[in-house]
Amino acid sequence: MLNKDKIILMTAISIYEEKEGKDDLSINGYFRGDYMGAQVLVGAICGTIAFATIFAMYMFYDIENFMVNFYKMDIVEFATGVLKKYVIFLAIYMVISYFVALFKHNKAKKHIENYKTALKALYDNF
Amino acid sequence: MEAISELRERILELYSKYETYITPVVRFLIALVSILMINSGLGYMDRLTNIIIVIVVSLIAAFLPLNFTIVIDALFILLHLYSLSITVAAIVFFVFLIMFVLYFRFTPKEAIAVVLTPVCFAIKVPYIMPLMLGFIGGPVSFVSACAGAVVYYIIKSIGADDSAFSSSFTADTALTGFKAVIDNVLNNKTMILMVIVFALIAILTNVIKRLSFDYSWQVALAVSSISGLIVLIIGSSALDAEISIVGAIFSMLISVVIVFVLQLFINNVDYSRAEYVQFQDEEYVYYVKAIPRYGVVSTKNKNSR
Repeated sequence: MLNKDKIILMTAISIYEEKEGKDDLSINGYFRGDYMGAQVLVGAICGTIAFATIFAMYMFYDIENFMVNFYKMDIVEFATGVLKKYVIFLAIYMVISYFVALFKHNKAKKHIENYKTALKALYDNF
Repeated sequence: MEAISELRERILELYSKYETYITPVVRFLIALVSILMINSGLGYMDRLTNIIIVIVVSLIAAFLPLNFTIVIDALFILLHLYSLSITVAAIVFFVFLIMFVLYFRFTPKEAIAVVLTPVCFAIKVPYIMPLMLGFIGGPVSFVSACAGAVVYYIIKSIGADDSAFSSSFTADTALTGFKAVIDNVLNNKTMILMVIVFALIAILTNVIKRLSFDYSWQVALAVSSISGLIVLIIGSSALDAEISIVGAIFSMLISVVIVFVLQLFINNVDYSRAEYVQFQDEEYVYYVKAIPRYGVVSTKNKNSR
């Protein structure tokens, strides 16, 4: 005998598992600290790639000036200036990555709680 | 208004029933239009402008996720530019790389804006993108609209004056080409103004539509479009940007009308495609097709009871 309410509940659970649930369950599989740490690390790598690309493009654009002034400039001061900019850029980007990861983790946790409630309802009532 | 809601419900139910056929057609059209636009704006590699290749690639894109269309469009752009000058292709590649690693890795679905914004520019209704992103995206979705505008103006500036670029790769030609592109982009006041206007429209739309009062999305549409026009008019004279104000007003009006119609289908609808799921219990194996229903009961059915 087909139980309509059971089918509706199981369908809703199954749709969630096949769509958003895949990402949510994957995020929820980590401890929050581990997930945040991994995302911030990925953010650091991506931020470094972006900074290196922008810096390389800037250097190539201004290469004539750079080559002319190369022997007059204080290399250490130049390198320190670049390093400072890199650290500031990276710090800002890692903070952004942290908050984005925090938002995603909290959202996934909320969805998982609803999912568990639906599973419990299925187990208890049917 | 009831009649419009009923019509909307019928169209959405029709879409849900036949979305298996409609979705590939829509994806095919998006891929076809975007590739044709790229070919007409650039078109340096003759092989890629062959209509058979364009149709075949668009057909493939019809049956793959939308992200494939984004990758294909990026490839077409890079291949055309490679044919023009390796340096230019490298610059655009690095611009795509920076956009991806800094922003689109968080919101890969919004990368479609980078493809659709140039298409909207080409059909003279660019303001659709920031308005729609403001409605359906989040508070930072304006970045996607701005990225799309930047890509459009880079392609346009390269296509408009390609005399500075050479297909032969030497240190001199590379540097000349590189500087030409960067100077065109950084000194492009029109691009800077459009990026500011896009950001303003998207942010205002998003902020106002989230407020809890009646007709918030209609107010968001009106306020953001008028504000965008005001900033455009003031900015074009302040920055001496090459923008036709009359054209911009018409373009904004048409964009607002199109977005208004689109919003009738998107607003307050937790729209999802028909879902196909399979599960089992002790007695049965279930193969379920779930088609979403919408809030309005058809008056035709109501009256016949």
